[in-house]
Amino acid sequence: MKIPIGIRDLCENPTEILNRYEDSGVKVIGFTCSYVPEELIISAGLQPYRITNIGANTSALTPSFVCPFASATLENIIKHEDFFSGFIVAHTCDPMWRLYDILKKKIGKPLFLLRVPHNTDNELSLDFFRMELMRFKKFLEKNFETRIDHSALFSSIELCNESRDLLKSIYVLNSGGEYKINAFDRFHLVLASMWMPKPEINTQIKALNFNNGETYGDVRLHLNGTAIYDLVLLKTIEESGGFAASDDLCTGSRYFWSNVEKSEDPISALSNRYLKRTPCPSHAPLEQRLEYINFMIEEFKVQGVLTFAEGFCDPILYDSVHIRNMLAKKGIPTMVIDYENPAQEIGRIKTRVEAFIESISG
Amino acid sequence: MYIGIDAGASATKTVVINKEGEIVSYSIVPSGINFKVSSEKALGKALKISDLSLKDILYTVSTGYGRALVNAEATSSEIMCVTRGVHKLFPSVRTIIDVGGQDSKAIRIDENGRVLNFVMNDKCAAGTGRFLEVMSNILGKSINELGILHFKSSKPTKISSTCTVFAESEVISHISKGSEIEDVIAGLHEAIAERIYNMSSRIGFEKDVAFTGGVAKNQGFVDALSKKVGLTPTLPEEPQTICALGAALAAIKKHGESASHSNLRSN
Repeated sequence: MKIPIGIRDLCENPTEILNRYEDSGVKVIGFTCSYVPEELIISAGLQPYRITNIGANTSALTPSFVCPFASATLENIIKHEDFFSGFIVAHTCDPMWRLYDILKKKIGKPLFLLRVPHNTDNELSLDFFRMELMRFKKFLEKNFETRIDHSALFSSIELCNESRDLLKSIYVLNSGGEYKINAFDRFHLVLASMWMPKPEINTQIKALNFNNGETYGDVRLHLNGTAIYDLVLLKTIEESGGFAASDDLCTGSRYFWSNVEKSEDPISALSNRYLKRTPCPSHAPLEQRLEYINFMIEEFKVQGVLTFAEGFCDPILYDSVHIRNMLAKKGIPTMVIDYENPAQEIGRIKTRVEAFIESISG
Repeated sequence: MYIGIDAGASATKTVVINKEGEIVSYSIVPSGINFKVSSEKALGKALKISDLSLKDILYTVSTGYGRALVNAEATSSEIMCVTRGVHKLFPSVRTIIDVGGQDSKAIRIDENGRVLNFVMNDKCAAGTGRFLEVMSNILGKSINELGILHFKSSKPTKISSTCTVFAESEVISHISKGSEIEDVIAGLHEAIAERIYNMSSRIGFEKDVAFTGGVAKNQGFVDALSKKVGLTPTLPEEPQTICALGAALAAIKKHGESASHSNLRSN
């Protein structure tokens, strides 16, 4: 499969598209993670855009113990503030949450902190998140002088469901031991879906052809962690003879695996979808994540699991021990790759990945 | 003949083996700044010792830090090469601690020589040969002398800095305060052993335990690490060439596969 050149360029330079939005008068809302329902942003007539750490250095505004991912994300928000009409920060892990406090002082655009309950598997949390989404809706309506009615919300839910369906349909091509699309290409499509207008990216995905004889590495891997924007990490796996058949990443399958159900009460439906999906490592319950990883391993015939632990993400490191113990019983090896700046550390990372893949292939 | 080239951060090692996997000859040369040059030099030297020429070579596999920069049909990771080399020589070994010029690794293997788990040093070369090289420079003693003087120490000095640069200052301050040089040397060996022990503890020390890599030639370090781990290690005659031996063994395997099987899969 050939990723369209426009999508390749976009993934290399994700902020380039902001110029296009500015030129065409599109109002853009930056958001930080996959707990933010893009449906609400779209139904307010705004363009959601996922903010990344790509192209930014760590910010001097954060102390050195804050993860470089959160710090560079902050730097990107401040650097590109003029392109945005507002920002949504989700309270997931503490470093991301604290960006909100810094941004309050540093930017002049409307800013919203979406509180995501940390225990996602109970009625109280679902209720809380539903009210939080109501608050989010009011924030959008007030700041952008619009009214989000049910019909707008229904159509944005439909659009986002279509996007998720398309991404999932590509993803499952690798089910049952197939080698159809590698992670490098797959992540291009997922990331582009977070940056481009949904109708546009959906049309491009529909036009792709997946049967043109690509060559891939043999060893089937599952990728565990939070978010990967730097696709050089995925390239490294493939250059080392690996085939990342599946993942549980925030910029991967967790973003699109489940859909919003049709309901008379769209806000409750959104609350259900976003809280009941596999939780981020910063959230409970752990068991749901383990179950998801187990499912992925069976479904995609995985031989080894690579955990990408961006410095200093404690939740991933805590998880990695549970994952290792669970998979050791199945004879599936695991390895943690820790890194801060993939571009600078790629030699070191590659040595580990190669050794891991070689140790599986024997 | 099959060739394994280990282009390490500090030295380039070449091992020549026959099709039975027996070592025919080997050589060790400094890596310098050009792996291509150093690997050609190491290969030339090893071939000369065994009276062979380039046309006798059936297949070459490279490994080590500079593996992609040397002439070889294929590459293999250091982890796998060290494992293959050790398993060939000592099938009873289950844990390998390999300390090279710039990295240190601990590998757990099973009875079939399969890698079960491994850890490597991260981002920092404090627990490696480079650490000892820096210290040998400021102490004005060769690496060989460090190994000898270690055993003259009765009261090793505690070196508490893990950073090579800070440890260097610490060593200077100990010497200027009148510490005996052999105590400082034994202290340095203990410091590096402690660091490697802590890293390796993450995968455990199932017996037998082998020490390999250039640093395992330093008896002082071997003594400090053996005491820390609490057992007598298996030591190859030439610990520095084990990884290159593993690469040469990989060359036999890959040569056999290359005719019939491609590493890549097509959809």
